[in-house]
Amino acid sequence: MTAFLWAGCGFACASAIMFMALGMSKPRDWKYITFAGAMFFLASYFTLQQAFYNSDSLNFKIEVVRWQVNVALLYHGVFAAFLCLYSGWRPHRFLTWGAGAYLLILFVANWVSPYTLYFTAPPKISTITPIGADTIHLLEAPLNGFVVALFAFGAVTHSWGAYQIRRLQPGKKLVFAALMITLSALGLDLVRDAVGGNWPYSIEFATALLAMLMSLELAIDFRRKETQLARALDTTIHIRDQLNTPLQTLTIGLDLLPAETPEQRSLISRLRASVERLESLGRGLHKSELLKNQKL
Amino acid sequence: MSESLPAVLFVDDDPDLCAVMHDAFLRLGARSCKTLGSLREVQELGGEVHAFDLAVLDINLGPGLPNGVEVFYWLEDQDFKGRVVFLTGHAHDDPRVITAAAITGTLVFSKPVRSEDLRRLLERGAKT
Repeated sequence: MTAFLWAGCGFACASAIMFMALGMSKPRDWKYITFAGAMFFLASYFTLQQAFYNSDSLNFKIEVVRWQVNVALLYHGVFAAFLCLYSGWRPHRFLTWGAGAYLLILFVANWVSPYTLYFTAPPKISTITPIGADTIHLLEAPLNGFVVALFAFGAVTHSWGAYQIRRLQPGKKLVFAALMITLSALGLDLVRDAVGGNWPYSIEFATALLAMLMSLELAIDFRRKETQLARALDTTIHIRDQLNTPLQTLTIGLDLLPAETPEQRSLISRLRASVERLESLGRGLHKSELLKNQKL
Repeated sequence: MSESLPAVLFVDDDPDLCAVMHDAFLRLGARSCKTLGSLREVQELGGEVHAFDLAVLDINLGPGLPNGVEVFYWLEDQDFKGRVVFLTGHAHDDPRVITAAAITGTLVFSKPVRSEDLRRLLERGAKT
């Protein structure tokens, strides 16, 4: 478990740094920034989970759970925002405020509850050794009602995100599958806590898989957009180049036109101004061309 | 004055531009001006190319067709003694423009050129 959690933490940190760098480059892209934020909270969660599994001190474990719940609330909030940006769905502002208030209530409940948002009574430590893994220490106690609210928020976020992605971006089958796996893991962990199951949590594995697939998808999306942008720029420059020949005809043609009367002179002057404006538009593209040559 | 100015061969695949440039060169005092649209038409001139003092060649003569640089090489093979100027609507990093710019003794002008530029070109052509 320790090795997996370290690996997951390392991957989430790397992903957070990479996507934060992409998102913070001007103009800011909140899709990448929110994903980087979610990855940062996921890395924090993995670190806390490792501390939770390895410690056999009850008070320490309770405090770790409290911090894990806080981090999970932040993760869910930021990940929900990311799913909105990724799927292209814009929620009504009342829904956004409602979700924020819901998470804030859970946050406060987590701080004021003596045994965190998770437990209603003092938990007991149980020690297990999963097959092929090192010994871990878990907590067992009756579940707090608020924890169902926390799982419900995660379940709604993931199922709704999966629905929006399937509806608006049907090509993202892997992302959809990863969201469904995470949703199933949330349900499995809730059942595990409800029945007092004595096995490790599955959400960390599902979330690691989701993070990996989302990172891949975002990286591929970025590359695809870069290619599309380069192609669009090439097409624009090609059109600009094609326009230069009729522009040449107009430039010389205007010089050949007789300007004998004041009306003719006025008309030619206006036409010349328009041609010069067209020329300046073409020159404006030169800047874009230089950017392309610097490989953006 | 007009006796000293050069005879111009203008090659471009756009007939409208050819017609306008023909009139413009004559108005600016060129001794004569012939406009053609492709390498094949230039080749049909044969030895008559030596009658021209200045060749203005558009670099892009249509997709899939020989370009202005190939026209230049044909003229060179014919031992053309006149001045050669390339005209292009493409950017300076276009491979054909790079090739044309690398040829010594020629000039590359970007479209659109103005009448003043053509006048100077004729005067310089006349001095060579």
